[in-house]
Amino acid sequence: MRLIVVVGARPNFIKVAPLMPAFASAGIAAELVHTGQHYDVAMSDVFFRDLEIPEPRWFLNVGSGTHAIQTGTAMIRLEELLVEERPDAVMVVGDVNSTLAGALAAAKLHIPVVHLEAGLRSGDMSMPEEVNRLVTDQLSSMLLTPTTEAISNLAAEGVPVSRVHFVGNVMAESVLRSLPRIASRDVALSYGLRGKGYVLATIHRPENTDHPERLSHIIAALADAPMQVLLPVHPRTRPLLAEAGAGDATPNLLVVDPVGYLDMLALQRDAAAVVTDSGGVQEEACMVRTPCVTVRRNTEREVTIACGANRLAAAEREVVSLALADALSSSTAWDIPQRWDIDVSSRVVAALQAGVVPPEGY
Amino acid sequence: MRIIIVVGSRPNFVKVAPLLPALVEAGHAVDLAFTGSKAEYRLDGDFHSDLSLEPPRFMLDLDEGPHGLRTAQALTSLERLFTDERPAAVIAVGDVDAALAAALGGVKLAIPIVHLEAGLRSGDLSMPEEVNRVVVDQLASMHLAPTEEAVENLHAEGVASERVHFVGNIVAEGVLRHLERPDGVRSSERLGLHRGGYVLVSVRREELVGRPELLAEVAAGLGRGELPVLVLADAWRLQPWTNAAVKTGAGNVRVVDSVFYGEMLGLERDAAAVVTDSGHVQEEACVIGTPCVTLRRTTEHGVTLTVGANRLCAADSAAVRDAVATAIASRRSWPMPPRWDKLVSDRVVRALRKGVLPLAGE
Repeated sequence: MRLIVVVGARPNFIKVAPLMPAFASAGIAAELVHTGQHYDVAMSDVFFRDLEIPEPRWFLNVGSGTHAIQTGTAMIRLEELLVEERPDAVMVVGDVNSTLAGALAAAKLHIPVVHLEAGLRSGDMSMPEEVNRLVTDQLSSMLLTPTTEAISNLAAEGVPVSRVHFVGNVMAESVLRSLPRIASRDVALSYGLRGKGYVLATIHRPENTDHPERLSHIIAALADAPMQVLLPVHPRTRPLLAEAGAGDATPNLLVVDPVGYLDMLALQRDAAAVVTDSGGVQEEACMVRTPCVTVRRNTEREVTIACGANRLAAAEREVVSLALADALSSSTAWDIPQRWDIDVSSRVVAALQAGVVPPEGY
Repeated sequence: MRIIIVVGSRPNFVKVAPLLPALVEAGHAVDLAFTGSKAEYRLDGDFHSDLSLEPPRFMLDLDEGPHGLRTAQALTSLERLFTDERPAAVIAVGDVDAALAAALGGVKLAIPIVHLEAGLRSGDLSMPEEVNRVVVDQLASMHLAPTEEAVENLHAEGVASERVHFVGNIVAEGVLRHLERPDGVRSSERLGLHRGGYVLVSVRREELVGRPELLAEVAAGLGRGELPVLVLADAWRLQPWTNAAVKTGAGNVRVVDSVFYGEMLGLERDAAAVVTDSGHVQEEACVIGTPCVTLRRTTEHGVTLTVGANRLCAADSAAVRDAVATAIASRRSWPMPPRWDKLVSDRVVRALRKGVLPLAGE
């Protein structure tokens, strides 16, 4: 079987990392295409190296832009590539614009789409990712779900159960395979921090960074934290943080440059708590047993809340502070969700080997 | 309410024609945005005057190309248009690529999408239109369904029932209003044909007309009937049809250039039977009372089969001959599907009066 795997952004890289070697040893000819949706030479290279991902065969240079420009450009270039290459199936990952573009381009060329991380739902259509998830799942021939909730979500949308495979969370496999490599890595120390003596915060969603009022509430709550807060941010976000009050008046906030995958994982593992608005960090924190506060109104990773690893907080000073206090005092003995283990890539291989059933009419 | 209606093709204009005056009369500020090319629009000039439609205010003037390219270009242009104009709602019509682009572009800007002709399903995802249908329906805030089956299809895909309005079939309203106009329906006599004395053929889908061997099968089947056959074809398809007719010795098959709406309705009304692969001809024939043969494996207009107006037929000469003979011999009266009447635009206005529910999470 010849498979083209579409990746476009950092969370995608983390998810394909365990899959590529599994495909290779199973004799599945899988090749990566990087749309270049989020491309930052330094960070992208670190991620590929950290995760030992093979060099993508194609790089499409899509770049940034509005949702439509990014999705449209990726669609046009992927369509050209798929017409040329005619793979047996196209794998798309997660919920970024490249995921949507890959699914649309392939579906219209009658190339079966395999969606890794299918069925997640926040119920919030104002999130562009939710739109991408809904559309991609409708277009997919094979839906690989990370949780049992995801299966129910798909069933409720009329997706035939025969197309759904509960493979588990590949993000978890990435974490579990990487942890032994960083057993003795103390990244916190290089920032002058002690293990379990700091809070790690990542805030990058436009709904938070581009709303000065919300951002200042979040900053104020972090400044109130009973310990140091390490805040890796993209250089683009730094001035926004400063405007929101991060600076001399907030001595416990340590604003630093973004870090690679393995360093980030070590920082999560060693933190007393994590405050985030990202999807992936909610899952990783759950895996490394660090309590998490998610600064959003809803989450598509509901299972992390159900098991007790995560809690939602609206972007208000009091709410975030209370949630952080709750996280810092909570037990970390939660049950890891079902099939969040190191066998996810094997299950994906088994599903693919059983054959991708093309949709009616292909 | 400020509304932009996105139209992408000729059949879209047919659906918009009865709706537009009703929306304007109800006090809505409505503009059309046409995604096709200016040349295409000019070519169709008489067609639009037939429908009493003013030229669209927004002409996006996009090029022809493969589905992915066309969709991607429409997506980027519509995003720009919606950003500039900020309509209160966008109406996406039918199942063309432009409808998909309008839905994706609008939803990510938090502009509610109203889908006219929601919930139709052929079950055949190899049809690009089917892909467009399922995607638009996942994204729409308000679903205007033409049939009871469409309401059920939406329900099965998890669409909340308060978003679904069973307004009926706007194509039916267009036909019924046109039949009333003194100049509305032109007779078939111009082409030297007599009422009930010919079979009308309108076949234009690429998977049939683009394949000479299938076209030859169809021509051979038509040529074996007793009645003369009038084939309507797009200008660039005249030759393949003529070739197929000559090759199979189908001397009673005559091929002419496509005709405009009023004349088409006259030809459909006066024919002994209609043979088609297009969606709207199946509906028009059902309303106008002429038995129809549909040269496809599936149809999204299942209700026309149920009432006995239509039958599916493979592109095989014996099957075509038999299906046409059966259609000619069949009764020309059947129960009209519910709400295929002149009140469809009124129902749309009423549905809009209650306001468009925003999408979940906004």
